[in-house]
Amino acid sequence: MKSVSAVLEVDVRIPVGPLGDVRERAAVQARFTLPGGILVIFGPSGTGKTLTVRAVAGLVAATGIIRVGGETLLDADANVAPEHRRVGYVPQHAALFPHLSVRDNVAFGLRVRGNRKESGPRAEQWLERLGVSHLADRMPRRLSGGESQRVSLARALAPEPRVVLLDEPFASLDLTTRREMRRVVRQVQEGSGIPMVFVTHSPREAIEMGDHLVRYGVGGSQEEGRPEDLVEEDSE
Amino acid sequence: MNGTAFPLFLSLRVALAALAVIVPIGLFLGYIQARHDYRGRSLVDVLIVLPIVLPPSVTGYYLIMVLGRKGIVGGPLYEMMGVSIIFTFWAAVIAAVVVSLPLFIKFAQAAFHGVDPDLEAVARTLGAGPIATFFRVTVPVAWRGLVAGAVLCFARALGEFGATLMFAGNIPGKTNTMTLEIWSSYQAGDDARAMALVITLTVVSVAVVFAFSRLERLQRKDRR
Repeated sequence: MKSVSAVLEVDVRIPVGPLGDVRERAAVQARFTLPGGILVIFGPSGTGKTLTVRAVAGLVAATGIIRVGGETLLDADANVAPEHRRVGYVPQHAALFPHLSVRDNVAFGLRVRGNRKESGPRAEQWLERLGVSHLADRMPRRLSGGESQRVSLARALAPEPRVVLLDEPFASLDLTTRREMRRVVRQVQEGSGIPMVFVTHSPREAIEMGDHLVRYGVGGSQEEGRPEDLVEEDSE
Repeated sequence: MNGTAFPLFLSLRVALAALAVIVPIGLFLGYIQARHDYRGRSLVDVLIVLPIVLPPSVTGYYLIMVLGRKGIVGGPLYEMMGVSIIFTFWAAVIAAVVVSLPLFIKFAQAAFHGVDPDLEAVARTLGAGPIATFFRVTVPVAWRGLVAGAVLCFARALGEFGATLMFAGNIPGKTNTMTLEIWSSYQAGDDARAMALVITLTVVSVAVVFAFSRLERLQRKDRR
């Protein structure tokens, strides 16, 4: 937590929620820093990886400290609302707005912030960078899984957030598409310089994607380090 | 069709006014019931459904007890401000609201329940506040279910009889809606007039049901 240069500092306790699958679980304690590049949160299901990124986005209640780029999003006195955090979020199943075209999905974040004029061209630029500009006029239900995730990523990046959170975004994709998507995300991260937090339970994905890694274990344990030191590559 | 115009337009005005009251209340309560888990939620659910299962005449009697000139709310309102709601156009609107609102809330609840919460979560992270998220994402995604609820609600308000008779009366030229007028004509032995009114109301109701089934078909197509 002492790192001055850290883009993201997280030291939070996420209490047991009253709803859904988190009901029977103990509170999740998360503590890590992201200096830049891609930080992978790796571990088996049910260890609180998703809860952690949702807490960083402000979507679930948490106590502790979250700082992004030096600005405090959460501490004892402050709890910035999700819409003011400038933290992008790509959920597991893309969650594209079904009533909006691909272009309007990507322009959504710019439009709600009142940037109507620029929203169209900026959306086109991001679709171009993600290699899906030819899909701009399509409705989301006509997209494949890989295409949906590219659009979801473009939508998260278009408002130029300070950090992007990707919650197992390739979990439902086939092997070939997964490999392709890893390359795309790495390329986009390096090109844009926007730091990312990437959640996965795949060892190979953790090693290929991560510059830094936090390993979540059953029972609440957490280790931070280099991916190749903390993960044994055995399967996809 | 002589003499059917007033009851028909009165019924349409009552149903539309009721709908204007029902939609904002129903959107709010439907969303709360679909998305929030709070203490007393089940009790609120029971209270919402109650007017559907209560006989309309019982609902009408309760309305008199609350809003009549000697009612809990209506009494002080009449004594202090001279305002009387019972046996007026607004009494017919209130009766229609009370019996139709539960239908819309239930449709809205189901429609909102079908909206993936991740869509709302993503919208928030993209800079939309809770109200912008509701109107830009939740309502547009749920709109077909909401419109279907509004159509059924309108039909229910149009056909309202028992509670309206109790609370708004059957005053010619004032509160004699279509259903009340059919009853009056039949009671008076004016079969031709009753038939004309029945045919008119049947045509309007069939049109409403047709619109409803078209919407349902669109909804199914959209899910594919």
